[in-house]
Amino acid sequence: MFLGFFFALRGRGIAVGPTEWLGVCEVLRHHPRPSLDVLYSTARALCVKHETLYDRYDEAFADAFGDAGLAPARAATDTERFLQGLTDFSGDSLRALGIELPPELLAMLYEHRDAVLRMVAEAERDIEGPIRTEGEGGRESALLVARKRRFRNYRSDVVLDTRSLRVALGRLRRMLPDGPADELDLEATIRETSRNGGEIDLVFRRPKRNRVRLVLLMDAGGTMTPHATLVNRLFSAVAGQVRDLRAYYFHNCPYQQVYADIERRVPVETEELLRLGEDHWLVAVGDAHMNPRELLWPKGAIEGPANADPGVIWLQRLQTAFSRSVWLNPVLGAERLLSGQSAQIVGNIFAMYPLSLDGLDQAMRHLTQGGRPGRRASAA
Amino acid sequence: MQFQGHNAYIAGPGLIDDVNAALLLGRPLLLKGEPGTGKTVLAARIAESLGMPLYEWNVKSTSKAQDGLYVYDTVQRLNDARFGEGDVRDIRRYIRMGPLGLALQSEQRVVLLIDEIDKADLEFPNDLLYELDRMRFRVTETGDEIEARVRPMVVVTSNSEKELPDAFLRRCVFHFLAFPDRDAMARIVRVHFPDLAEAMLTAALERFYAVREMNLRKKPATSELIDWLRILMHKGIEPGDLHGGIPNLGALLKTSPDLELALRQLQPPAG
Repeated sequence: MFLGFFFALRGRGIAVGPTEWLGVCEVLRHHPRPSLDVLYSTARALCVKHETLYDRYDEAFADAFGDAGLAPARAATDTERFLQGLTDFSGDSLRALGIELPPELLAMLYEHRDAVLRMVAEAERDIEGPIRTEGEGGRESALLVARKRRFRNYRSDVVLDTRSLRVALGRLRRMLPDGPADELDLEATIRETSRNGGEIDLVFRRPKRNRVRLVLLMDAGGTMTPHATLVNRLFSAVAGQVRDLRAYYFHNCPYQQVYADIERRVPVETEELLRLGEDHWLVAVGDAHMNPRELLWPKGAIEGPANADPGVIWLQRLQTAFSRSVWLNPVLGAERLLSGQSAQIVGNIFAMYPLSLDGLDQAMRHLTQGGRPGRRASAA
Repeated sequence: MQFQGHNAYIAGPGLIDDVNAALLLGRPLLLKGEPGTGKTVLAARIAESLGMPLYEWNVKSTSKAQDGLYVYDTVQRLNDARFGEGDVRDIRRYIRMGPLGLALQSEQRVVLLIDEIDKADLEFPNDLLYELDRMRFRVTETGDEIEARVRPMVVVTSNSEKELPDAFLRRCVFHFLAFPDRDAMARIVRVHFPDLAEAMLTAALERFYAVREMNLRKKPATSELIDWLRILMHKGIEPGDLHGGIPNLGALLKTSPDLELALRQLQPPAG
């Protein structure tokens, strides 16, 4: 049973090794009153090293030790497994569930795979709420705790508070000597002092500082309203993190003008923005959910001066002007990220990542490692 | 040796077990959680209740792992040599032990608090791996080998400003201090203010959790609540006074955007 738990943890992506497990056994052996509660907290403290994994730990614990009362949760995982199985067009995953689909049907599913993927994604989103209810009752309080899954909100694929954003943005570092020479260089001081026959000769050097400069370009259009708080948090997390930060806003798509304020009253020529490209990196934030004509047609802008060049040209200019760039999309979930036609076009120009903790992390890595072009399967 | 909890510290579920696991295995206890949830205080309480001395190492952004072990004061020695003061041949006079060095040198078991380890450079925890694992180090300048007679109880706190390296995490016992719910918070407040009126406590907690519900940059935590209650009690505020606005909101919220937001949402319209 204990070993089952150990492998349940590993199965859920919690990297438990024998060292951790022996530690757990050691503690339990010495504990004056060992119980399931003690096992719960001990194994968690020794095997799980991040609060974002607490939820998965709770799932594994409930799976391994709670066979009664977990029926509702199981029903959900079965449904989810079925949906997952649908997206594996070989039919193997479904066969593993005891469902045999006729080859014609499989071929048909494969032929319409885009539609299937979309439907499955929607269905998964829909079942997330009601089906994943907690089981009733239970014998041990640790099990109850595990089932309550109080740490669900700490999962890294869900929550994005300012602090976790800041951690992810911590990757944005390029330390280079900067500013006045006011840091004592001890090694050089000793060297120079000895060379000077003991007469103390203090040597100073320039301290290393973060040299990253950022341009944040954010969509402030109507479809972005639900994500406004998220974007706001991103902004407050970036502030103070980098050497220079400038924020601009656009409505659905940037054209020859962007705006310096979120209400879009102070226009800024995009040409001016392009000139920043030399020593700044570009982080664009938007759901890329614009009407294709806003993107592809001259005069497609829905507000502001009529644009001679289509939005896609401006996007391309931005991408070219900035040595490193990335596009963050707050529409969560990899499979829905590029579902719209516009999002696909934008994703071909910029490297696009979901605005989740994982996505942000990948995006920052992309930036620090060169941050060149788009045309990538995002967040696979 | 068993930590049984402390009467002035309300431990969340599993915390006492985790402290004891760390004591037993001689591994560092890593505490994470929102600022103000009692991470630092716990170390002091452990030391108090086990009767061990507490060494504190407050990590700063400029802290180096070496500083915790010892510092060789070259500039002082250079200076003494230049001006002919003291015995510069005795290098030990210029070795100053840091908190970790002192903890390892100690004759008895001690509690060592490494506070806010995430403030330092990303590589900082990695630089401490060997010393925390083996509980020994060598003073390069003198060749002295310093080894702990008893493994100190190491408590490490982190605000997760930076992620800690895996190799470091693997050697720790980890506990995440979740923010206390209303009942737990009521018990915590009781510990600090045994004679606070029940009605006042309920009203204050009501307002406090309402403030936390708001979309704030920095949510007030336990320590802010305690400060705030202290002010309220000092001013002799009655539960009824809390229904209108929130007096001394500045004790709970520390940034001006948060204050403005809270004032807009909580205070009744003027007039």
